[in-house]
Amino acid sequence: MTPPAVLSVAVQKEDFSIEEALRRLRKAAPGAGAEVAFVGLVRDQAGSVASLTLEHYPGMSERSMLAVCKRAAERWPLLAVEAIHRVGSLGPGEQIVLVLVSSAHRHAAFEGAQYIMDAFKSEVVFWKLEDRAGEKVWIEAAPSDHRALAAWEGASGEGAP
Amino acid sequence: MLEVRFFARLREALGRERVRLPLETPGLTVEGLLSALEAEIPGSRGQLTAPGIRLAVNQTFVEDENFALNPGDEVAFLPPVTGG
Repeated sequence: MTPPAVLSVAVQKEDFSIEEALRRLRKAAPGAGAEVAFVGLVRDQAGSVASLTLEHYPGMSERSMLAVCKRAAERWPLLAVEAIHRVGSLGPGEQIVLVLVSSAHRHAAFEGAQYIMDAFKSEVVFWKLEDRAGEKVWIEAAPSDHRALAAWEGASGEGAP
Repeated sequence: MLEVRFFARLREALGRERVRLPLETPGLTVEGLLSALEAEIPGSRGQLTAPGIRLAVNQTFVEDENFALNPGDEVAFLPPVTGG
């Protein structure tokens, strides 16, 4: 029987350190055999994106992140999950989001982390405003992100999609 | 009172971040809310019922069109999310 996973989510303006987050994860759930880390960055599309502004709904953004992490921990035997999402103004190459997952074995860690990111894309409450050479454009939701999450929902149990 | 909040592109389209509506008795429907908002911000109904716009009550998504709102609730209209 796996103990309940230790879940931690944060929304912050400041940058994050993956090394520090990994140290916290290891301390929160010692005895893990596998850790998976995902970092999402602001893409530098040949200089076409000057910056990105991330808006959130204080309170609900955190709740929506926690809900996704809880679902992942119910589906896979995860020991600990830490997720950080940044808000405010971010330049090309800057870190936006961190997902860290630990588990006894690698499959659960890989799949748990991938599921969390796929669900984050469709369910966590954030909006990206892109600055394209002075023109500010709200980014459209990508149908492929919804398909990625739907693939997990249609699949049963571990090893999906 | 009922606090209604708008985010991201909706906030910009409506030119308002939040609206406070008087509400004394429980049971305001979503349809009633849309009518009250249309009176407050003419033209808002089309924006708020556009495809992909989701409603949250007290920071939880609500899908039920028959949901009843109560005094003190915080309601938010959310465009499709693009985080991660």
